[in-house]
Amino acid sequence: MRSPTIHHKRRLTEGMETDDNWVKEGRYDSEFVAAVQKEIEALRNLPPNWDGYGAPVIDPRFIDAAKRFIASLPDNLAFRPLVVPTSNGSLQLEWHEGPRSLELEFESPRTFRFLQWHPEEGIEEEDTIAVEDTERAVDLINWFTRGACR
Amino acid sequence: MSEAGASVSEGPTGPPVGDDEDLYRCISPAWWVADERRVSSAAFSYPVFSVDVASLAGSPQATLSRFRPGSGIASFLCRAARQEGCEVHLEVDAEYPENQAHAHVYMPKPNSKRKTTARKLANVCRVLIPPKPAE
Repeated sequence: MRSPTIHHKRRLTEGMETDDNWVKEGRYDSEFVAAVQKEIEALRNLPPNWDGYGAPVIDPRFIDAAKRFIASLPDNLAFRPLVVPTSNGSLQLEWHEGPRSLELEFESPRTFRFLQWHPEEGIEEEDTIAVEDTERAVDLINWFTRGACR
Repeated sequence: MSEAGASVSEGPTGPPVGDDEDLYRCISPAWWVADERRVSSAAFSYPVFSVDVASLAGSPQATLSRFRPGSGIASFLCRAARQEGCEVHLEVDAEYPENQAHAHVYMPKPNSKRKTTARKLANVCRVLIPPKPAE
């Protein structure tokens, strides 16, 4: 599930050399929202006991909340996260590279539990935040992408 | 194999599993990150989850035979779970009472480090049989 990425500044206009002609460093992915929402939507197809340990189907409220959350993110923020179902009928979004990772697990349609993980830097933080707190979520994703080099 | 059936409030009731025992955990294809050949922490991120004690199960294949085709098996040492504050107890699986190898892993309480602990278990586990995602 690799997404197209651009790791360097991208020129917008040939022949113009001012800084204004460059976009902020980021990960240009015009399909980000549609692609991630498709991955989330696919979780509706998981049957009961999909994990072999008696998991229920993924709660549609979590699916809808995750899709809304993805749509709320600014453009070009990060490469596509992995979408992973959890045995309690929820899902989590994972960004992972080397020792650094970020997980956002929906605890309810209104909150997620995040894990910031980079043991080499002594970072093992987890907490609960509101799904609507996009600013905090963006901070977390920016923390991840600052160290990621895809 | 129902994790919902394991009551956190009741706590462990069976005998503790020895530190040197290997534990088998079935890995759904949905938890397998094939590109990176790693298991998602979601495989371990529950207040209580089920495992088989390897020495009682006999083989990874024996454990795997109870699960859906395409599932895999990961293994980790009981000591590794205990070092993260987990308790591991040999307890009957209400849905498969004939499985004498069944144990529950109880995550540490309070639950404020559940994801951290799950991430550590995902890091230390060895994948013995990789899941096979559907084509």
